[in-house]
Amino acid sequence: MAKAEIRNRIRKLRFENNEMTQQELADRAACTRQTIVALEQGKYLPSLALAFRIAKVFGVLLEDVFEYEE
Amino acid sequence: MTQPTKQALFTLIIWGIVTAAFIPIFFSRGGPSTYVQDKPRFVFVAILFGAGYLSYFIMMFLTRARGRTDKIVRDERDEHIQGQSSGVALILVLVYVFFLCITLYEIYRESGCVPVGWMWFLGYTTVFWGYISNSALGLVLHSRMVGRGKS
Repeated sequence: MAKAEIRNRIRKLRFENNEMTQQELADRAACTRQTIVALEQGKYLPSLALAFRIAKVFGVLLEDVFEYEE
Repeated sequence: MTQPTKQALFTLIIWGIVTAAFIPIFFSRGGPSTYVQDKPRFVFVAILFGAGYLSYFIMMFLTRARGRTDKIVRDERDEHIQGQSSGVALILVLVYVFFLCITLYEIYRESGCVPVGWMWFLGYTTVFWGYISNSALGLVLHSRMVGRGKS
């Protein structure tokens, strides 16, 4: 089975949303700032619920935030 | 530093100090074979153990979630790390108990009886090792930030 990787555009989306801070995103997505840091560094894969909450904060679709690569 | 990281760090410090104090006290003045009869040493270790728990509970109280109620202090990543570190710590504790018991069996097989002081050593150090391994693993996992949330 090919190794799959999930990338995200959280850093870019924060920049596009008036340089939203990691803390602000964390507060609005109901997680800690450390989780946002880990997500941006690609070290943590969020649950579906958190992924949807992050997409909702930016007002975009899930696939606009997370990208699945094989 | 998040609340779970703080608690893991302080847990490691508290039980690390208690263990560092316990080992030389336990093995002083005859060690395990005279431990139960040596009342001052027996009581001192019990006080040390109690002080460790008291410090631990005070630390947990002082680092509890408070103030801004809407601020998230623990999320799915923390729970994931806690679950992972607890699982590995449990295995480490089981391995420790197994090897200590087997070692004591091998040492005292010829004489046919193990000094009862060793049972106290096993009891105390199992608690210490459980807290130390769990908190140390939690800190390592927090620093590496790795993980995968459950959907």
